[in-house]
Amino acid sequence: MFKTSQSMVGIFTIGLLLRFILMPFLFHPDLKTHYFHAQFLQQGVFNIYQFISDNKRSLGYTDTFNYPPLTYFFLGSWNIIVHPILGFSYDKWLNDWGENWFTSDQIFRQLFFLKIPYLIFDLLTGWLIFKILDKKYAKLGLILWLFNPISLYLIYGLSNFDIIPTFFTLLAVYLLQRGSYLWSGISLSFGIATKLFPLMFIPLFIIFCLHHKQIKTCLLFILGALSIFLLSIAFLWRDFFLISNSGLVSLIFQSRFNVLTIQVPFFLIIYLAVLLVFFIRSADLNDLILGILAICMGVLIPTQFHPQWVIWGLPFLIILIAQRIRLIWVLLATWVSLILTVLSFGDKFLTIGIFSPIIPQIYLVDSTETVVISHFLVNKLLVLSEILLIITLFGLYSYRYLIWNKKS
Amino acid sequence: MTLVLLTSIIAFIGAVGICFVYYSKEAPIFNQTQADKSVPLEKNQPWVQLLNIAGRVSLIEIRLNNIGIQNHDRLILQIKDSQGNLLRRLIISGSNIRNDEWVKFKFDPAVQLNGVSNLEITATELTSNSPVYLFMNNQNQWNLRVFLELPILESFLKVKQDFTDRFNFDRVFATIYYLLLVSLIIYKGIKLYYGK
Repeated sequence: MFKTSQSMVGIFTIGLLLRFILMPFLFHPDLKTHYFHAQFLQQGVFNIYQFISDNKRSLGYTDTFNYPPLTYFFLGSWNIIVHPILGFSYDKWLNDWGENWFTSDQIFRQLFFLKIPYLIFDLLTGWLIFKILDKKYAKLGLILWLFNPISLYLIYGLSNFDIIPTFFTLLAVYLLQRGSYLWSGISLSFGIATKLFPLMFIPLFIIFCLHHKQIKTCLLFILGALSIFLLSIAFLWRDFFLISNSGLVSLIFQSRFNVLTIQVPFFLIIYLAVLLVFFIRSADLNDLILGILAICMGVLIPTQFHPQWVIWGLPFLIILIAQRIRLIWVLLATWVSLILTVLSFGDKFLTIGIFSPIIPQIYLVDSTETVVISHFLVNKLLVLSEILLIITLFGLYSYRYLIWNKKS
Repeated sequence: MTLVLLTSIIAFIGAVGICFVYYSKEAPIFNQTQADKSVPLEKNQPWVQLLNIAGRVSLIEIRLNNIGIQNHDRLILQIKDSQGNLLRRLIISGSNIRNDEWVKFKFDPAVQLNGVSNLEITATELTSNSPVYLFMNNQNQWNLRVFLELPILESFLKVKQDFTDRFNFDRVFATIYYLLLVSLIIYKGIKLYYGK
């Protein structure tokens, strides 16, 4: 036991070192826009949705805040905590949308401190992977998580807070494994309260509960699952749903195909198929993990997905790979698919632009690759990425239900 | 673990390397984006912008406006040295200019400039009623970006120096940051030593 925890601490130390090295030197505009909105909590703004709507003309950055209220309160609270460390230069940077909006005198300090919450959730996710997995797989799982270029790029490069709801979803799985149904529901609820996507996993959790326990336990889970979310949007639900403009729902239902006279969203087919398979099979924890991963991939397949969405399913993929190392090809396929999608955006800040803290002028460099790709190759790249993800999904299911048990 | 760690490090270094290659091909040297007005490019009436740049210019971006892409006439961009000798000429059709766009003029091979030189843009014909407009500030300085082609080593040294200066400018953070890294490394080293 002592030896295991010693080696875990050693791995964590190197992982932490790697993260410290990356944190101050990678930048994506999303970090700035999120904290731009979050700064208004310090000024006493409770309803950020209404505030932006009312003050659009006077704000330097006019996009709506598209996330649930808890995200605003969380980032806003962190902004209040680090404000004394970051000082006046930080305020100036947050509100500067002029020529040099992407850099500042203290950009390294700002990036480092603003990413600390993501660092904490990232490390906690690694710890959960370690705890969920059997002892013989735990170390590999932890290594795959901590030294994975995809998670490093998504968490510290793109600097989105998607790691927070991802952590809470994983925590819900862990608590389910331990038989704490109410707390599992509450954890999922925290996830939903920071970003809506974990809502999609509720049916999987309910089926899992039904397979293993009685209806009473299942109701406990549902109670937990909706509690924090409903509480967090209780006073702001109207403005959140009416004013904010999340791309998720419209994007995942965008791709449709005709069945007789009805247009059926592609995602819905994948989603129902995943639920059906999960319902029919003897739902153990790996099936639940595969189900969550499959739904996450189902979101990515029919859309030109935002790259940060890949993080939603990544811990679950790593848990599967740690148990069956042959599945490492899925990680590679996900990597390729992510690269294809990133290139299809033609957005400099998804590629060379994330290094703008190191070379600020890189923002101005004419990255020919993005120009060429945006005009000629976008659709081809997206189709390639979709095909790759579909093959990967089929491959994963085939492996799980045809080969996995033979190996164990 | 070593393999995964190596992959991460190689991916990071590779990505920074790609940035250097891009940067060395087109390193920004001049950037004027203040637009107070836009002036029409009339036939055979050149607009001149003074440049004071030494180096190999590989790309020039000029902010132009071809309203509704109505203008399909020829535009000539010339670079001349301080004595008026022509160094390079590029011709572009109005069809390739859209509404309010940074139009790219690529120089292949790059043009060697040695200090003061003149950039000149002229409309040689005007068959349409709608001229192309050039954006500039109140001092008649064009909205202009100039990019240099740098040798990789030179660009690396330039970036390194600039980066070090900017990082060390925030001394308090730089000190805390170095301390953090060093303590982690020492901690790991001690653990490795006693682990053995």
